[in-house]
Amino acid sequence: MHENLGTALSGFDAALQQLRVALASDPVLHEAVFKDTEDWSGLLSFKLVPHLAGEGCLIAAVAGGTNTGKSTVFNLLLGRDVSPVVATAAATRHPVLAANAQRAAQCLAGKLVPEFRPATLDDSDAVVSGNAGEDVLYVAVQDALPGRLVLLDTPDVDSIDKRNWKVADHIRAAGDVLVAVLTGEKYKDERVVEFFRHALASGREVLPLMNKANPANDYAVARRQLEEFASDVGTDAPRFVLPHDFNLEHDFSRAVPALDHGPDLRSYLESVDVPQLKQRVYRATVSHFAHRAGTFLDDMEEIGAALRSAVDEFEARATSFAGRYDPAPGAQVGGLFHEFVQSKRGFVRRTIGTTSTAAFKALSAVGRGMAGAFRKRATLESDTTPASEAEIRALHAKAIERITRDLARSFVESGRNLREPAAHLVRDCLDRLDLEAIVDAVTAQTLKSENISQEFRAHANRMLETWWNDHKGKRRALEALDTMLALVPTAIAAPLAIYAAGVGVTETVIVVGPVVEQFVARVLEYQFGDAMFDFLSPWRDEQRRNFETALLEHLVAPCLEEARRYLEVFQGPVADDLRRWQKQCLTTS
Amino acid sequence: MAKAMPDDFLSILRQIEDIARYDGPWRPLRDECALLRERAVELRNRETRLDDLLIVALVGGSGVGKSTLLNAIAGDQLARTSEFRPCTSVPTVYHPPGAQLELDQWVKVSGSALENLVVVDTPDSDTIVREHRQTVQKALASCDLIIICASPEKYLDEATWSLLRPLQGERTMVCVETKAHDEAGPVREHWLTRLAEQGFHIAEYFRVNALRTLDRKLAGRDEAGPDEHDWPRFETYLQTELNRERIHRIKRSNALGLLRKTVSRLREHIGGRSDELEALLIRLEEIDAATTRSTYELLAQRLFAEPHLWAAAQGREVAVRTKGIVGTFYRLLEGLRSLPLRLGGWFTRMGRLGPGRQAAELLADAHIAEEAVLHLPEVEALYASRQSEIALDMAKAGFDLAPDTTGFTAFDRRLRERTADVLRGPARDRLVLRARLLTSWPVTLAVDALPLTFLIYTSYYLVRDYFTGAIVTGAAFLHAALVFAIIVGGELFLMSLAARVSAWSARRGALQDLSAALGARGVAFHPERAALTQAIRFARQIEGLGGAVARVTQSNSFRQS
Repeated sequence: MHENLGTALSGFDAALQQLRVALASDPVLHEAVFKDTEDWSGLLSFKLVPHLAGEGCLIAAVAGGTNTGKSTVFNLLLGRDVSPVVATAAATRHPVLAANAQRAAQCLAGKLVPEFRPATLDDSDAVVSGNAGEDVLYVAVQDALPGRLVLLDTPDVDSIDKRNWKVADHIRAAGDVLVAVLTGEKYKDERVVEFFRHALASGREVLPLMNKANPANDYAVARRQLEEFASDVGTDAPRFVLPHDFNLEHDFSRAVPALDHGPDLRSYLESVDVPQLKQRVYRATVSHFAHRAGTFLDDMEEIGAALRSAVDEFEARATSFAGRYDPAPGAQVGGLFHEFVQSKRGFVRRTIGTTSTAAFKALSAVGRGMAGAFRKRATLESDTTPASEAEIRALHAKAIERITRDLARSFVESGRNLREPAAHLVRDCLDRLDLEAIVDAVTAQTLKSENISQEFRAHANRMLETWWNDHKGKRRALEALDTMLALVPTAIAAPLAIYAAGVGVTETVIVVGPVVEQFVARVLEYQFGDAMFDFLSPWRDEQRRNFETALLEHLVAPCLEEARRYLEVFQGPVADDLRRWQKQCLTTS
Repeated sequence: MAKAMPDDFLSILRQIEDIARYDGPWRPLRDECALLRERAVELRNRETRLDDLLIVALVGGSGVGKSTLLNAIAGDQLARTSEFRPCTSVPTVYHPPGAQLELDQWVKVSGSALENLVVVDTPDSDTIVREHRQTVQKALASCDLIIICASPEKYLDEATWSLLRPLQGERTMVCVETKAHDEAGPVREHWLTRLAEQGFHIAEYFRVNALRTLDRKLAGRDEAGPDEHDWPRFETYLQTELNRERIHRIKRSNALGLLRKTVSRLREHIGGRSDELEALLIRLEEIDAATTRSTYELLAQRLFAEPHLWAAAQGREVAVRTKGIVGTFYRLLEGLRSLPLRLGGWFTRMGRLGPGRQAAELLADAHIAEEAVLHLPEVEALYASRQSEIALDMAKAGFDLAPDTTGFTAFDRRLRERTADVLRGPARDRLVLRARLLTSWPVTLAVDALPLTFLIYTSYYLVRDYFTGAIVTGAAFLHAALVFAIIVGGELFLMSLAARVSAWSARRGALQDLSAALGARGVAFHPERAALTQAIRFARQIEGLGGAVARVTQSNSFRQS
């Protein structure tokens, strides 16, 4: 069991370190994830992992609010003036550890309470001056203490010096037994009650001690106050009491009596069954740790899910914006089918077709010219449809630029509405983007070709080629129809012409016949081609897909770069590892 | 008689109320508004209650002796005290008889000898009963003077300090050490140092032992003993020092503190941003100018680049005014030439008339409504493209402008109006002027001189031949008619040419008119411009508030006591 647990704990610890390293580059995210984790993640590195190594002795910590007399109690337990007692509040700034020589050496070697940097206590004022670092622990050698008991004096848990709270949290993690020093004013304070409630939940034993108590009526008031505190915190450990009129600040020879004639505090601490308590504390700690870690992982998953949903939303928005792009090939698209059929004809048929097309074109050019001249007079308008390829391309580029900018704007706006921790990841990226360059890049990638009509033509021809090769039956029917159309008008008209007008007219009819045919075929194929093949929408879809890809690549990806990177952390292997180890801890405990 | 708040204060307050009503699209300012509205209401409240009693709140951790202090002040067991925590859960309000109070639901005790004060004993700020904190916050919100009560154990507790921090500068604060046992403990020094470190300004500091004072008062002794430390001074402070004038000063200084805080927060969040917005406005103007220029070019290329349109309009103007022989022929000719025009939509697809044609009609007839006229789809595309540029910049600056078409509709309307005004106004005037010139009497006479002379000459020969009895041959008639036709035809050609040339020059002139009409600023991006200028106005106003507050602070009536 222990081996499994050890692997799981050190695995979890390693994964947690990885997570810390991965998130270290982003303070906001780090704060969001690791907020309020101090108390249990401290348990992991300071209590659970080192204790597996087998360093065992009872660590009793004296804790409580400001100016309640923690140091006084500490000194009473030692029977000596070790920790300075000061009248002002929040005076003790560094924890003090008292142990016999052997244990003290162990502690100085960093084996006992590894979360702190141990230093020998040479000058007792150093404890209150607070110039040393946050993690300094002063070690005082007290040979009167048995080897199995180590005592800790701690800073307060409730003053405006939040730095002290943190130290107290570490001490709580390190200790096995916590002596809760209370007074008539402070036994109900939220900070104090919460602190010890946490301690109890994480498996520590909490011993309530009422300081400055009124001894009248056999401590009737203190008894009730202790009762209330015990029920608020949830402990049923023995209670201790210190009367108010003790001249305690000078006389350290007294014992701290129990409330109900039990052994005094020092004797109680010495008589504790250390292995049993250690085991109980350890088990409770592991279970507390596993539960808290579970909640932590749930919260982390929530952050991951929020990031994921932000990423998904941005991508979906890019897709929907790409849908606004409505590409038009610009040039006349009719007759593509007709041209294609023409190109597939045999030599004779093609020659007839080409010559008759030329004739048809010449005729229609004259007609169009006449009609145009007249219409121009009538309407007084110049042609407004874009003529050149460059103009068509410029139109497309404008539309693409506009949509890209609109998308960027919508990102900026939704970036404001996003909630942390995803918000700043996206916002920072957005601030860094060079949008002009992005717009250019998107345009260049979407409009690969300079000649859009040409590209459309190529696209349509590819479609037709596929159709031509795939539908042999229809193709033959079409060819037969085409030939019939070419010959039938002439075949019908020629005998009639001979009969009606004699030689000379026949040749004319033979020439006119194919022109008529060309006209009919053209009309039919225009109609047929446009009805049968939807040239435009597949091309449009393709262009839109191109656009979407370009948007995702040049705009969305840089926007979400950071978010994706951290998403990788939240939903990647590290998160899986953490979850696995946490489950293993839970099952083994 | 008490002085009211000075006018400067009221004017700043009005400005704040004005800013608080902002409901525009600039997010940074809108985010401030909820708090600002709250603050404005409170400031207004404080301003109107200058003459009310001073509300004093006793605040501190559980068990420091707030209720005992109240009892000591009153000399009676008003509020319940106990050794078990927490004791007070409903505030006790101790006030002089006849006072009008709005502090509902709280225990009110009348009969206070302190005729200017209302003393409120609050619940604790730090025990596990969390509702008490809310009650304390409520009491703190309505009070004017805070008496921070503390014992050596509780003077540094975060729970109490966290309640006081948001009120820094808005309330006058007094410290009272309630359980002073012996002479001069170290607490006073330490407490005041820490308070000063965190920016608290403490008006007074008293060391008292409320329990001893209460016991003495209950025993009926009037003289305070030496073991009550600062009590006599404290009592004097409450009874005489806090007179009407002092109370006014406290209330004014509280209100001013709140005002200062409100304004400095506003300046911090909004104030420095007006330059950024100005730069954005300049960019908007640039884009606006560019849009108008492109639109002008488009119009110049399309509507105003139609020689037919102008020639037809000019021809029409000339035709309706012509007189004389050649003039009559010109009218006939113009009638024939404009036949396709007058046939309406017969020669257009689906009978639709394009903007060019509509403009031509507008040019010809000033009474046509411009609604259906001059819609160019390219302008819409152009506008949308430019709008996306400015919208992106504005979004970056914190504006939430929902993309809509009202901006374009307004621009389109304004554009049409201006173009139509040019077409109907100066452009038409130019055509009419030229037509008048071409059809004036001297020109008509000059034009008609030749055919008239020829007619007179022919008539003279006809009459002379008639009286001499010579025979006039048919060929002579034919010849005369031919010569007349050549003369009239030549002059018609010259007149048409003149009409064309004047149409060309009128068009050139009209282009300048159009350029001038569109050159004026503020044609495009109306909603954006409105939002931006409004935001700039507020940002500027907020920057100015700082100086105004400094002036109010310096004025004599607000010097700190």
